[in-house]
Amino acid sequence: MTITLTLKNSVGLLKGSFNRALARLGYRLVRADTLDRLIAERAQPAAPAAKPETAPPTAGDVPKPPDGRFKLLPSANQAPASCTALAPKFDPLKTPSQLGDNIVAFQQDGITVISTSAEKAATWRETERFDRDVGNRHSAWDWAGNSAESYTDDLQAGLPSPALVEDLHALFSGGDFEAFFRGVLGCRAKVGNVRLVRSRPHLTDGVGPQEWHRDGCPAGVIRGVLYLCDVDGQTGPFQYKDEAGRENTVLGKTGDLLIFDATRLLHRGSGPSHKTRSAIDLVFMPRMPDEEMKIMVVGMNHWPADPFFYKMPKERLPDHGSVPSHDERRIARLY
Amino acid sequence: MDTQVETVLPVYIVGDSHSLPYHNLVFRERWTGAWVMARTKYIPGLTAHDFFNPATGEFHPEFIGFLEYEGLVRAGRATHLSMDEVDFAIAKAAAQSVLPPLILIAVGEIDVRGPIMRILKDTHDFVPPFPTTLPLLDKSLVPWDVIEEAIEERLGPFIAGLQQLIAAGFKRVYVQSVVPPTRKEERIRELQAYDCPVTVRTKLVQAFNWKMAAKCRSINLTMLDNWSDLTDGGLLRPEFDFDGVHLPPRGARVYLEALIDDAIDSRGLVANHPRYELYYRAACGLDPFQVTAPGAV
Repeated sequence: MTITLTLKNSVGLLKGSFNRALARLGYRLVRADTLDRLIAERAQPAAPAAKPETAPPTAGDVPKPPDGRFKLLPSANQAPASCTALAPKFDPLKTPSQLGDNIVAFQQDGITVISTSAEKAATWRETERFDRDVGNRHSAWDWAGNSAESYTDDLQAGLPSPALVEDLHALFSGGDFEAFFRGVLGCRAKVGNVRLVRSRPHLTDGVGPQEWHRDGCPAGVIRGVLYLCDVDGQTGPFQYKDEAGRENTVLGKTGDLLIFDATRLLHRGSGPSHKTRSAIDLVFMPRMPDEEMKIMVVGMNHWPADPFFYKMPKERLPDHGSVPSHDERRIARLY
Repeated sequence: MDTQVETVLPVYIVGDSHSLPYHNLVFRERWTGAWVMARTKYIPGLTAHDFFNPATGEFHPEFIGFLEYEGLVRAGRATHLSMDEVDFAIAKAAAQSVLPPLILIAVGEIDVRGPIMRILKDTHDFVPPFPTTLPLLDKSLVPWDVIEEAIEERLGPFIAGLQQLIAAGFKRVYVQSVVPPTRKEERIRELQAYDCPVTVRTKLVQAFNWKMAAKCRSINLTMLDNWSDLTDGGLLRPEFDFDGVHLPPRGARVYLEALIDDAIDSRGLVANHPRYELYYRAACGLDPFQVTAPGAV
């Protein structure tokens, strides 16, 4: 026992002396298993605070928390396949309505035509002013809409007069239309935009709304076109493709109101070949139960980006400067 | 609800030190007269290469931290597309339109000046595959594919990160091109401890931007390229040479105006479909947060 203790003390003293000698030369003696443990510990992620401030963390070398909190999860922002998905299946026997057949037609085909006053429509055609191009003078960051510059000379646009807005308010506030929108949307509706559009005869290919397209309307948003003139095959009638891909043409009389799901149906306002087509372009959107009927006039915009909060876009007056052309913009391209 | 109080249009700018000239920048844009305000985050040393780690699917922690701080991300999700009741309550309290945010990312200069420029130093030049007015010096040539490979290696993770951002719902993201380098040779010597002639390093930045622009286009993003505004005779205009590395704030504004000019006509991306879903359900008298199968109403 004494011999063993003496030997251990001697080895200890020898180690101590050796370590002190190494320390004077700037070294330390470390046991092999201790060294392995230290290496293993260094291989573990270090706490961020241990990193020198001069070496900013990067995605590659910063410790990754187990919950992967530096990841972003996928999120979609896509128009629905149909904009009226919440409307219950309409039964005209259960819920008699003046426009019951139109509700059934809309639910079946995604489009219906409702006759309105031909006299009023003819008057609007003569009294309303189609005095501007289709450039967006109401550009606003919280509204989806057309480009600021006009994209064609074949289309003229206009803002509805206060009298027309009042007439439309009366029309769509009526019991028939209240019931109609409840039937096709599942809720009441307001008018998200109303504008006048006149299409001049032309033989060139149509652009913008005269090309086949879907509008990408958000949920609950549907479109309307109220003809202000008789529309035959030469006046650029509305066309759509049904679910089987068949092309359908909607001829109409002055005062006919087409209401359609512009996202469900591939559609276009075909280019008039010989006669001018005048119409009122409408956007219908859901109305909250406690909300009054209203008609918004927002030029060449489509719908608010966020239906809960938006500002009414202001019109940019011509004397405050015209729309800068593409050449005047600051996007200079080198390559 | 019609909001009446005037607010600014925020542009979220994040990146290396080239995000600094945007700091506190504010101006009225010429399209709608709205106030544009730069909300910036400087991430020291951020490179294109380290922006995103494709192996783990994680972004640079400070980038995510910035998005979280600005309320653009919560629990790993884009808040503007959230149909979560908490995010809805937050948006309601803010009482402002919930829009896809405009984001500008400034990275790449460190990638060019560091690992790529080292290939050339003052001993080599290269011939890029695009037209340039910059001369070819009487030096040994490095093949384009070597330069291209070095650029690809730095850009790869960045582009992967941008794709991930798009998938997360951030589609209004812009990339700032790398700014033309200083004409001052002594500044480069000071920064890099070696020489690289101004025409060679400027051409290298052009090459990097050329590749980055093509890659951004391929994923439907826009790289803001104001090279012709900032250069004269192919080199940085002296009035934009602020400190030998960065643009002055008025140079940053050139980029920001280019972003606004592009964004004003890209408002097809602005509609917030999840918010419409909630609105439509509420209008129909349903619980907006209780999802029901279509037709089950």
